[in-house]
Amino acid sequence: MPSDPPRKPRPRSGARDVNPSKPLDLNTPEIRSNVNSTRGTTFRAQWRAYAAAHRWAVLGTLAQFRRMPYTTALTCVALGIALAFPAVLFVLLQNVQQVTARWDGAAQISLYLKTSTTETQALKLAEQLRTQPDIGKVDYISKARALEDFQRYSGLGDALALLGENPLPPVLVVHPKDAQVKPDAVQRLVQTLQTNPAVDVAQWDMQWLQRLHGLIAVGQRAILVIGALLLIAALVVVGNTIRLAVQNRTQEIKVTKLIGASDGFVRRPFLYSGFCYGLTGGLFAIGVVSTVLWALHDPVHAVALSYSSNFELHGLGFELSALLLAAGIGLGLTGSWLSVSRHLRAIEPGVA
Amino acid sequence: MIQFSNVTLRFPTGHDALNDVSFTLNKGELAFLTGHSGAGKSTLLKLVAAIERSTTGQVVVNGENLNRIRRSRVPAFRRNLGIVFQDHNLLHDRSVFDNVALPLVIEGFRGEEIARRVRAALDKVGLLGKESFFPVTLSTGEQQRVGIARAVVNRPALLLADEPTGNLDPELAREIMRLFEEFNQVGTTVLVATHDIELIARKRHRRLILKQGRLDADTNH
Repeated sequence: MPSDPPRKPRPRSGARDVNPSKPLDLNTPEIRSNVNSTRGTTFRAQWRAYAAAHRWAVLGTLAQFRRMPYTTALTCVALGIALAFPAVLFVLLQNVQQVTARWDGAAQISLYLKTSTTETQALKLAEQLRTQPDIGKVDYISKARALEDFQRYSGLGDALALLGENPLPPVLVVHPKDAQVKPDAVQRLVQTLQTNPAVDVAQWDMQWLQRLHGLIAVGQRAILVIGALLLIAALVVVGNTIRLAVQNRTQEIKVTKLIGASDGFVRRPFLYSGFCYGLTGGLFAIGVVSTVLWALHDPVHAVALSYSSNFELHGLGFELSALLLAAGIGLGLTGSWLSVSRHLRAIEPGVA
Repeated sequence: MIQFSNVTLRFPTGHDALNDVSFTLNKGELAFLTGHSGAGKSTLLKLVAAIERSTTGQVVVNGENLNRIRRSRVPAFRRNLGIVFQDHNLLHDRSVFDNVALPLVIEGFRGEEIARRVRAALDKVGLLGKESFFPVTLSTGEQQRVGIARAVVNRPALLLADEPTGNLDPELAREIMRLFEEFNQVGTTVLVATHDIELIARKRHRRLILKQGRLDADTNH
């Protein structure tokens, strides 16, 4: 047992903010006067403390990047590609949808009337159809006009002359009222028109559009699946990098924990790293997507011109770019959070 | 400040690192923990710092029962300790300033206050003016003093040191020991583990002597 009694009354205990008078030479009056404000409740004081803690974390993150520059770069690139690939597919598909949307507007139904139908009957039917709410415009093509068109465009006019009699039926071309009408609505209209006794065949010229819509749906689903797989891959890549970083800093983590750092404090620099990976990966992805679209732009435009279309490939746009960045940051943060939470617990001072 | 009651720590191998150790270290005391290497000095300090938990017996430090402390409470508990390591355990990619500032940053002090306290602590160990140096550019003795500055910068109630003079020549070792005495004189409870009997032989301080995991002697000179 001690022979010396305590030399001085000691006002210290665990509750350091309760009693600011402290021993050591550190306890200059200047410092003492500030003790109460150090962990003040004012917003300003809290912000300053926060800034000090974050400065520490940022320095740690930068040191981590310096220590493993290649792994850092590779992680960002991998993340970027994982984001860029589905994004490119998505943008292309969006363009396809845009093109077909224009075609939808041109959806028209050809009603081949029975050859016995007279012109008056045909015109009367046309008039009747125009009054239907879902039909916009009805054009009448008489037998003679059909023959004329056929001769002009097919180059088989001479062959028709051999038949003696005009074999072509009169045609009513029906345009649905709504320019952006849905394929199944058109399909219903076709079925109704088919029941008209004067109609021989009702044909939807753009039936293949329906199939295209089906294909687009398949494409969308495929992008979703590919995107999900790449997302998991990106998480694994980030997680692995953070795991390496945690291992690299095992000693430092032990020391900071010994000094009293909470898990949150130790975790923070790694979350910052994840954020940086995500941000850089997202920017990289935007670059990749823009480059790919730029490379495709001219050839696509050339093809469009050959179809006498003014189609221009649409780019990423602001919203999609923001989405890519957000996705990158989200992935980076999630990956590092999962990894650091998993590996941090294992690192305790004293445990070799 | 520290209370050990019949503390035994048995490793999974069956070896007893500490065997039935009981002692009390009061607030404001300075004690040296001595014994041959392997006698259990480091293990005892690890129990005090909540790094290890005792197999049987009770460890109470700073009013906290360490047998029952929750994992989430450990960081807050450790903020009341200052620990000096034999191998300094400095962070080599951080400046001297940042190393010493770490406990304050963890505790949530703000920038100006951190700067003031770090300078005061560095002044105390005679390293003022070396804030921007990196640990590798300092001598072993200077590194050890940075470690001490870091341990005392947040004015812990209890200062633990594990072989703080292990790598130092006698002159530096005496200097370091003087520092611990000075901290003790202003009220800090200090527990120093050392096998350097000569260094403390002439000092009239309490000595806890460990021998093969048992408390062999508890003397005052």
